[in-house]
Amino acid sequence: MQLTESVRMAVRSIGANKLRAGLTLLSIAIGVFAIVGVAAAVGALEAKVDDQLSAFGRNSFILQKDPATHFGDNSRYRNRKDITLRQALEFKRRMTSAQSISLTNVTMGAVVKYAGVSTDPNINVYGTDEGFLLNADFSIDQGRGLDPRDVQMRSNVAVIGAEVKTMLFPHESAVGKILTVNGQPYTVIGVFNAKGAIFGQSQDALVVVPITSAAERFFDEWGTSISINVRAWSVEALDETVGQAVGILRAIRGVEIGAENDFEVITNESISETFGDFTKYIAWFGLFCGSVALLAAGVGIMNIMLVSVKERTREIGVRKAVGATSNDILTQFMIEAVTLCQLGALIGIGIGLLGGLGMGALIKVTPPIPWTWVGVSIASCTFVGLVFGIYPAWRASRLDPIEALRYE
Amino acid sequence: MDSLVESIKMAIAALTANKMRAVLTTLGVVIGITIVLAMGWALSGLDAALEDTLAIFGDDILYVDKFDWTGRRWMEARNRKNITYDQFLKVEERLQSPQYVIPTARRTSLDVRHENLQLTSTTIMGVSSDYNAMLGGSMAEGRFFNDMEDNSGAGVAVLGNATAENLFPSADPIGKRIRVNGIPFTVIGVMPKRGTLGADMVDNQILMPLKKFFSLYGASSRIVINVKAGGTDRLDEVRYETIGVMRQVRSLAPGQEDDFAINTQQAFRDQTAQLRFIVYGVGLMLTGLSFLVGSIGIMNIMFVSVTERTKEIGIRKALGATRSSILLQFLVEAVVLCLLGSLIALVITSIGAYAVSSWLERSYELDFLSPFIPPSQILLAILVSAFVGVLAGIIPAYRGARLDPVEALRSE
Repeated sequence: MQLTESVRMAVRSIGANKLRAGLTLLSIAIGVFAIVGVAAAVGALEAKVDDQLSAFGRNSFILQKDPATHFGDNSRYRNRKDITLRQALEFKRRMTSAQSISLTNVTMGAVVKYAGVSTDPNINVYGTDEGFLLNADFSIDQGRGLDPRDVQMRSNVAVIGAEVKTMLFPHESAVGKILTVNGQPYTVIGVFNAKGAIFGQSQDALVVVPITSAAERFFDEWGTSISINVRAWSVEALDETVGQAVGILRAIRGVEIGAENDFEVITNESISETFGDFTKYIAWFGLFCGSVALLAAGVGIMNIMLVSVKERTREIGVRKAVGATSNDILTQFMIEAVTLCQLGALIGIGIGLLGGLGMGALIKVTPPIPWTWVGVSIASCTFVGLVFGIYPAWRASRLDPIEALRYE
Repeated sequence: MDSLVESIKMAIAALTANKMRAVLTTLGVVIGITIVLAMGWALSGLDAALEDTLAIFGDDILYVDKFDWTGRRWMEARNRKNITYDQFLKVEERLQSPQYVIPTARRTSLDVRHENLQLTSTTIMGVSSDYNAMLGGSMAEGRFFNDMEDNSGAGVAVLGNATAENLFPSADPIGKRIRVNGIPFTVIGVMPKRGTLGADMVDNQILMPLKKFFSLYGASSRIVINVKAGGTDRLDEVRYETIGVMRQVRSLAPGQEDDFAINTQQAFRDQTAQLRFIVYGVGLMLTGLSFLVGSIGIMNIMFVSVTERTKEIGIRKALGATRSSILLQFLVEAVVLCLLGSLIALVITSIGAYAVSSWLERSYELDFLSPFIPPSQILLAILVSAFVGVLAGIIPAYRGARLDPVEALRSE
């Protein structure tokens, strides 16, 4: 009962001096914005990566020669032998416990031509199989995707990305036409739906052909190492499937017992962990900067509360004279400080979340609300209110009612 | 002028009259400026470290390799043919403008021993005898190998600075025998320390005559041709000549793309420019928020100050003070608060910077952070804080200046 009374009084006195309260709220909000805004922006980035990863599938993993990211010393994998098509096909034959296995080899920077028009040398050619659609999260717009027969028969057929379609077949249907990929003729059997660009990089400048055909036509000229994408039956079965796959590939590649793998196993987790390590630092930096700003804001609150106590000396005197205890006065001013801080926190959280949404809109993802950081900022604002409110409140509570009443 | 001095005097009197308030307001500003200054100091340290790292490449040296060192089109470059020694010879013969044209070949993670000390992951560079002259010619100890040793493929080695330190912690390395993957070499010199925090690989290598390198690892090793232009102003000229000659030597048809890359320091600088910009932007913006909070505190307290002194303003006006002198009075008060804050912050960050940098140097031998705040930053901090003082003071001051003297005198 007494608390609601105090809160009501606090709100009234904040409202009585709008300009002063507004500036104080603003300073708190800025600090909270730094914490929540950075966390929300980081959340948006993480969501984007997660988005990409779940396209890849939570129960999938990749076996390939080189790691996904590498810094500095590359001696460990520089001299590894390619995973050849023969090894990959042998792996596919022996690995029976997986839901699906898909092979991919990418050739970058190819030129695709049709009827005298040619693309820039920036088309990625994927030598792959029927699993590509699912693994790369593409869907078919026209025609059809690759099927196992295309791979078996080494058919010279291609499915083209939306960007290739618009460039080479702006006004006609592409399906059934014959184009050339670096001089090699391919019959178009399908067109992918557009996926758009990510981080300024188009995802639609691609041509997909059967890996067997790519092996025949391109492998002498270009890299031949193959990535093997394995999908386990379930997330629970992932570890077991990884174990089996690694065993089989080691056997095929003749890795001796006790020797290190001469290939990389890339799982969803390994990628998001690497990225998470990086974003964690940004979020911590945001917290640090926000805390310093809150500290500065706290000092400002203390200052303005002192002014407030001084201005209301007479009011305090009157309250004391009609029976308010020192404790009542202390509570009143403490609640005023904390209420100010929490109002500021709410505004800051609002602006911060909006910032995160803006960031999310920029990279086309709905960012999750960083509840932890919202909680952290509310808690730290309350803390700031308590710490910096206590001295002015204590001063107010200690006023001698007689002196206070006499104060002009 | 007189009125300014008068205003400053009044400002100081007003501030000392309300000490607690002045201290707290200044404290807010101090916190804000301190963190911005510290951030700027740390960033400029990192920047210097990056610059040092880039300097290893030399600002007028082109590195002709089949790979683009910034990693562009790496998959494609992997399958290009190596640049061979024969190609180097042709390039050297045809290039007219550069100061030096030097072939280098390298192998990583080799095992090097001296007596019972062993280093793994050492890099071996096979280079020609001019290599050290191209880098400026200085040696930490001993000498570089000469033409004769180079041509005869002598078993002599020049150690990188860190390699020498690790392999010969107490003894003088000159004249000692080392084994590189079992092959004996005589140490004839030690290179000066060149590496930095970000890149110490140049100090962890061993240089040997290229002919010796070929006899150990085969003459078809991948060559990187170092072309020193002899001045940054000549870089473009030399680059175009080098591209032309390389295309001839690699027999590329007109219209065909280059199957090699010309790597320069500039490429790395360009590549890091965006990242730098983002790090600077985010770092200074986030720390700048604290500064903003500090100045909001000033503004708030100036409003209070104007309100409290309404009567005083009325009396001053009644005695003939103009609007502009009232405005000046409050503006000066705000600016004095800000400047005072920035001075205190400067002292704090200077002490902090000195302490942190000397601690890092003592404990971790990291010397990339300067022990002093750069003067340009000091100047900037003072100017910015004065500016912020004006900004935070102007609205409250304007409010005070506009007060009607009659009303102001009547206020309680």
